[in-house]
Amino acid sequence: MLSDSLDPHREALRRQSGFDSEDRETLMIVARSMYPHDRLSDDPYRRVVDAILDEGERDAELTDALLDGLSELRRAGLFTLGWRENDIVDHLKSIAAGPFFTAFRSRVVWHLYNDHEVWEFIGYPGESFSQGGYLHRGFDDLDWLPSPRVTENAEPMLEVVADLEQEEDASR
Amino acid sequence: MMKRNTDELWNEASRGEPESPLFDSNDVDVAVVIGTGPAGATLALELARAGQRVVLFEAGPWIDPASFINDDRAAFEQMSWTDPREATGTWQLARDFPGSPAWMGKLVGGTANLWTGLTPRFKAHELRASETYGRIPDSTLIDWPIGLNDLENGYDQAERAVGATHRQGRPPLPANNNYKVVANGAARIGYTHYATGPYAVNAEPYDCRPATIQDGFASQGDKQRSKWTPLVSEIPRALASGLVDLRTRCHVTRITLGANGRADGVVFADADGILHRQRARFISVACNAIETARLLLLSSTAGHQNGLANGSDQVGRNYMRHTSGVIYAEFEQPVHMYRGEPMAGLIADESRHDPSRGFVGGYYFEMISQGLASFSQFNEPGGWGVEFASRMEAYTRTSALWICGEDLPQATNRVTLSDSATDALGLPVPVVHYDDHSNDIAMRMHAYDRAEELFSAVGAVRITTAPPLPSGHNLGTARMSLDAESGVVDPYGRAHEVDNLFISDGSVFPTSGAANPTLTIMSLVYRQAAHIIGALRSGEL
Repeated sequence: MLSDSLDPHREALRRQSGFDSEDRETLMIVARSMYPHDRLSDDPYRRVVDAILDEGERDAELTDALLDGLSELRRAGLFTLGWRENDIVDHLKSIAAGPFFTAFRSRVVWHLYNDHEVWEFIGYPGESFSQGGYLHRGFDDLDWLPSPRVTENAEPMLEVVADLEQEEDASR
Repeated sequence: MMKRNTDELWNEASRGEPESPLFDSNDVDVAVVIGTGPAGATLALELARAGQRVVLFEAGPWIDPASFINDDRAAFEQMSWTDPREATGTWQLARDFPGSPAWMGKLVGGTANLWTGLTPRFKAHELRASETYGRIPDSTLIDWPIGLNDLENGYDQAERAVGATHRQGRPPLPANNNYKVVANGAARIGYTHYATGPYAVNAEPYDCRPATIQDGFASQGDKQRSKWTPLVSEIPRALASGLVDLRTRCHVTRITLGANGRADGVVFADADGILHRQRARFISVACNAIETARLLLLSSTAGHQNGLANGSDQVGRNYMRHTSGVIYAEFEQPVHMYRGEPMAGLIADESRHDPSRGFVGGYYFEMISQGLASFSQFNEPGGWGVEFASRMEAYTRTSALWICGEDLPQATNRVTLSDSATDALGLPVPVVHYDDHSNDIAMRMHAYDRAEELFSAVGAVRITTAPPLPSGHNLGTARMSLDAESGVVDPYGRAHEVDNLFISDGSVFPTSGAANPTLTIMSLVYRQAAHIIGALRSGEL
């Protein structure tokens, strides 16, 4: 209930007891709005939020920033179901210089693109050493351009192009 | 000793950290070398080959290449120098990565474990930058006190040591997918000086190291050992000589002077933070330009109130990091840039000096690839939203180039000691101040434009220009000069004010040139080692 969540007493309780499932869901939606990948499930975003809240347990400043950010979202009416992504993005743009946005965004990008489900979705395979690298697995399989020269040009390079103004000065 | 199989040396060396020091802490005849990167490891091995006993300090641990990890994030945490730092100034790194403006290794083998291996040489005119470019406002540009002829022997030695492709009879690496994109783009806009190197990764077995398996993780230490680093080359040989006492996880905190004004030893903290002393006949500092300057500043003493060997007030000044930036290009067809050697592609056409472009000095285009985690950090620092996410989804269809260009020295770009923040040992952290010079900005803009033309010529559908990455090339903070007023060391890297103190890393560069610095650092070290060995034999050291 929106009215309850604006209750200062409940706010104080929340700060003592940490984040409830509604908080987690809201942060997940914010993370998704920051780095939207429509065909990606919610799971990686949930893992990102879990990692950030874990860090918050050891970092009071981060926890405060997250709680303040959630309060701002509530005041903006973006804490209940039925919000639209555009509204969230507009809200995020308006708070982009603030501590919540700064702390949360940098951590979302840090964790999201290191998540192996995201790697699979984007097509980054990660380690290759155990599979013999790419020597026989396509390091040079690009076929939409011709094979270029790999040796150096035997013609020496012109290393200094004279400055015309300097030349004119010298000839005066 | 040098004929032995590297695997044998390897087994000996990789037993891990020596249980007890080889040499006594009061032994006044040992050389102390601080840092095990390309500079310190090369110097230690050269001294050992000449019969000189060396105590070699490394702040980080010994890590066996078998323990390296094919993962951006885990490898970064395993190998990087993450001690606190501060960044100030107008450079974008102060905003994007304020606590880590530079990227260096903290392990045996140093930053070479993170590098990818491009080894171009300086051009003759780059050593005469002041003479060639003329007076540049707001810059402390000077000529090197040595010329290309002074570096050539060392360049040959360094190319053989690292097994650089395209050099000394070494074959080139094959083209990988990313190279196919950038080389075709280069050719289509009229560039002709492109190749897959010179690059310090084996295309075929060399020096007991295998050929590359193109695993794509050279910057993560290179588990394959096909990339040259001191960890797989100089260090095992140095240990096998029996003359090099490697002290890992030992952080040198101060260089001490005797009553005669000569350096007489160092103070260092062991892994538990307990302080010890080591005496020395002479000392070499090779800690990378930020830590080298910091150590000199931390070693201030009577007669050297502003830092050791700093009567000129040049220690920490003229910090350079190369003009750089990244250009990402997205295509309709797959690229898979993460496959294969990440930087085996060099375009040299813009490395000429040609003031008609609106700036002095030149730059290289260097192929680059990043794993997805790094790609998301560097593609647009601070970026978010629908468009950003779509660029991430295009990762497998993306190619990239890195700019590496001459950066002008400025007196106010400098490393100083923080007056408030301290590290785990209680020592002031370094503050790295850097303002972009107008020449750097003009060069970067030119490079962005040319890279867009290059990628457009092979059909790029979206191009993103990105700011510099945390600096891997750190130079200039103890520069070389003929006179004691305009620099810190002489043409052999010997401190003007302390006869038996040498600086051996990129700190001594008077200018940055456009070339990646490692090969030149090593060339200077071979020259310095010959000079030191001569001075030892004549009794002057």
